[in-house]
Amino acid sequence: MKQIFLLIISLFFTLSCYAKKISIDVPSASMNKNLPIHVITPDSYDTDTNKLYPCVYLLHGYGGSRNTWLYVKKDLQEISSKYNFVFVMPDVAKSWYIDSPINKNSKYETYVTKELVEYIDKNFRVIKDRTGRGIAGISMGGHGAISLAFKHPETYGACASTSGALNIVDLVHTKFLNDVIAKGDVEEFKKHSALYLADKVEAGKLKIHIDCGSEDFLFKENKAIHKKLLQRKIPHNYFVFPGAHKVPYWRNSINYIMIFFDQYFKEKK
Amino acid sequence: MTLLKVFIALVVLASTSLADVQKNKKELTFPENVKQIKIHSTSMKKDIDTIVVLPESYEKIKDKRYPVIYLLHGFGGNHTTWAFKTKPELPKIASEKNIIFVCPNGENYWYADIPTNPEIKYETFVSKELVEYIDKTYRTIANKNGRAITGFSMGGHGAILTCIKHQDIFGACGSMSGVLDLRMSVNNGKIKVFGEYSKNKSLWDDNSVRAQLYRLYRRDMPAMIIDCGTEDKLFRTNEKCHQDMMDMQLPHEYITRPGKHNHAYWNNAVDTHIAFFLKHFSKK
Repeated sequence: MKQIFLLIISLFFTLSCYAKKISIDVPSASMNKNLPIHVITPDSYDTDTNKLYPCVYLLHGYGGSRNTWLYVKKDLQEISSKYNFVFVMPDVAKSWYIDSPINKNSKYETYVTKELVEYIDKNFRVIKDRTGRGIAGISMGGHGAISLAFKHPETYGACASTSGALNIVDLVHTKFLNDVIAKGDVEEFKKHSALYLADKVEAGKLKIHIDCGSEDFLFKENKAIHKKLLQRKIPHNYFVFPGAHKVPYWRNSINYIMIFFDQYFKEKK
Repeated sequence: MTLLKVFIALVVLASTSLADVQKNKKELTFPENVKQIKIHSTSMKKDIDTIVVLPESYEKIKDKRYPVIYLLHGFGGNHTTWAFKTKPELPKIASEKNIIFVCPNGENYWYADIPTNPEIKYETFVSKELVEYIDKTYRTIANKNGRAITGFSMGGHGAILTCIKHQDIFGACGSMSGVLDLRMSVNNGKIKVFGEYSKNKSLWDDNSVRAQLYRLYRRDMPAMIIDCGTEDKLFRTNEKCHQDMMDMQLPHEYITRPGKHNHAYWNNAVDTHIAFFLKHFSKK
């Protein structure tokens, strides 16, 4: 009997000692609905119960979902355990991480930077301030990571963009931000564009990483924000690798992004 | 009498501690797998000091062959700079990743061949004599797929230029805060080895990375990584070189990070270069 008991206990511990993916619906008061997310916790999370973990929010691109990062980076759970990061992957539909002035049901900036952060801080053993909070994204998610970090420097300590759409003003006459910002409303687009927000960001507060493939159709925007940050003397990483707006590019660039966050969190320990 | 004894004692004490200081200046403590060797250069008729860092497994696994990363120092440095100043962690990395590191003494001659000076044939030395010696003496992967070269400052210039001019020898190269266009230093008088620019234009052009990019073919590129700190005085030159390579559609990895022209930056940067070369070495 004792042996069976011990067997069950050890089985329980073995099963709980691996990186876990937890799928949850997070309530949003501002949008009056529940939104699905994935949370990944590292191997040690269930056993190291006194430890508070750094948390990185991983944002998806246009047409993506909370599954995107898992699809792009199949070893995401191993990475979580390697660096001891908690990953949070929200689903934001095609909202561009903006509180829409024309659609009151689309308050994804408030959701991601406030409601989701409060929920995660309350329910997970994460570091509850910017010294342990990072945000990263691919494409539309890259725009999300940089623009939200620039707008909320007290919430995030480090932000990273890979192949980011870092100047949404380029999309002002397209259909991509339908239901988010009125077509042609250049002034509203500027308010949320990472390139324009870079005019006001303060030097040294935020750790910034920007990378893009040299054959990516978004390359010019990335180069432009790099030039602007240089002129304003805002320290940042800027990497250019051969590649286009494709998964193989991100499979490589994400490795550098994880090193970037690891360096930031270690600095702040 | 006692005063004399005290005086003599003090003199003896002073001279032994002085001797100690002088001894420490000359002698470096060599970790186990770090060897200092002399390699004879036929072209220069002299021996060149070189440091070789071997992985721990080298003596244990007798039939294993290793890739080699050649590390070039900057102006004012020598063969000991990399292993004893910039990156003392080299022996640990060599053992962890199973790489051989080779650090030659390039003195202050910009890794160049000066046609009129028989004592300055450092391009020939690095690309031919050094590589032949290392391949003959150690169990290396003796082809361009197992050979990479990188360096900082003058060494960054040397690594990229040597690779561009000898693409059959080096399959991968890198530059950390490299002086990628020597012609931009013409007015500050720091580079003396080529003589006056106006009288030696071809020599200056021949030895400036940015002027030699035409030798590269985008479908046949050596793997290349260019890295510079944004607060480095050479940052503009690196951006210009990167832009030229973009315009010429020459694929390369380009990395800029906050940082200046110092060993702390290169200590950090070399990790990325090593990771980049390992990717190259593992390609079939």
